[in-house]
Amino acid sequence: MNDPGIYFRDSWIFTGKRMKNRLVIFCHQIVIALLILIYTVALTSTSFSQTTGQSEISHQTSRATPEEFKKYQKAKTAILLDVRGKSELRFGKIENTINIPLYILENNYQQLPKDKLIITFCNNGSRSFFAYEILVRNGFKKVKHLNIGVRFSKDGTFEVP
Amino acid sequence: MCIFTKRAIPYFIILISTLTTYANPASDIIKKANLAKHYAGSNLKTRIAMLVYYEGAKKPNKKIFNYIKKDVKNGGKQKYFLYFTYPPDIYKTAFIVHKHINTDDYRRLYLPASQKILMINGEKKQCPFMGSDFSAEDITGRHEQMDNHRILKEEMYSVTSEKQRLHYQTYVIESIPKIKEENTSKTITWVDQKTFLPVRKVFYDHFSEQYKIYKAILIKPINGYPTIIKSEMLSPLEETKTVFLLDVKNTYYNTDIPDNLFEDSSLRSPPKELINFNQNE
Repeated sequence: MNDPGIYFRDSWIFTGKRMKNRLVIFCHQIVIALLILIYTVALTSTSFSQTTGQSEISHQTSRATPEEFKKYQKAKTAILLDVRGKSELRFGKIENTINIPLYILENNYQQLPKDKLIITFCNNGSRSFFAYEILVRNGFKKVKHLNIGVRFSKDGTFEVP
Repeated sequence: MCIFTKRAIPYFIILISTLTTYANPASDIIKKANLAKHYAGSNLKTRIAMLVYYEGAKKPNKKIFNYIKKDVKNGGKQKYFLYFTYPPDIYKTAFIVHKHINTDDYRRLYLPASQKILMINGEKKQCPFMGSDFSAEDITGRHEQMDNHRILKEEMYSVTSEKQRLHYQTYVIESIPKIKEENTSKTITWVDQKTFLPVRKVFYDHFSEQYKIYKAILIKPINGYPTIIKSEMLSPLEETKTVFLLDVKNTYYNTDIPDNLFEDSSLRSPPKELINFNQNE
């Protein structure tokens, strides 16, 4: 205990073989830390680009095209949600569609299934967009909106210009 | 000479029809009603509560929005900025309208949840506004030259407001669109002879049914301008009703409103001093 050499041999400034070993360990630690850092950065940038990509994709694909609308109307594989008022159905109603007026949808979206694609539509594209927003806000992931107004006819035919 | 005469005919017809329109006292009354309702003051900043009642609902859907309008020309072009503050899920939803007289309106809607700016078809002014019974045209007004007007009669119109019975001596005007419209075949408007504000308006569809009935429930002067404080739009066929309630304490005429508020850039980030009202009042 009285020998100051022992004290110095144990200290971190000690030079010699032990110091070499410590340096090697230190270097290893730095390398590992760097690797972790690089990995984290790479992971973050990848997930960021993925998120950006997804948002861009969802941004683009949230709109249903007239062709898609017609296809699903025939195939009956999606819920085509007409958000016009009840009285507007007098101007025409499309087969294989359901009507929930926008003002009712705000409080009654729960009756719609979340696992099926829903396409909202109306006669000018603004109410369908609001309906889309309501559904997305409430956890519906498979939703699209027809941003073009549908022209209805009393005989059930329709036009999507 | 002959060619000149042929070319002059359409201009002559337009001139005659314009002169006839202006010479018509019914058109003049509707013009005054339009000015009283939509052009009072050079600009207006207020807060409106919109309550949508429908059958089966326990309570109405309530929305609150800030309403700012600025006249570019009295009786002509106007700009509107609407900014929703309640309920929280539509907070920051913003709407811009540049109302034009002879061309389609410019309309942009910003929905913060999807961060999208939507271009809204300016032609369809009669489509419901934000799921209410009011259309965009009911909010921004309709130019008198779009209809042919005639006075049906003069009568006393009464309405119950805040447990009071209010009486208005009115002109009753029938208006038929000059160009056939999708929803409306004609309207009948009761215009107060004192303030020239429309106190009642009935909208008829192409089945000759009353599809919308507008009532001004409460009118009060603010800064010297008679202002409709409470109004409602009833849709008998839809069995719904929308009430518009103006926040009197937060209604200001002729304030300083910059033009850039009505640009697309304001949709995402409007100037705070223009959209913040005293919430406690």
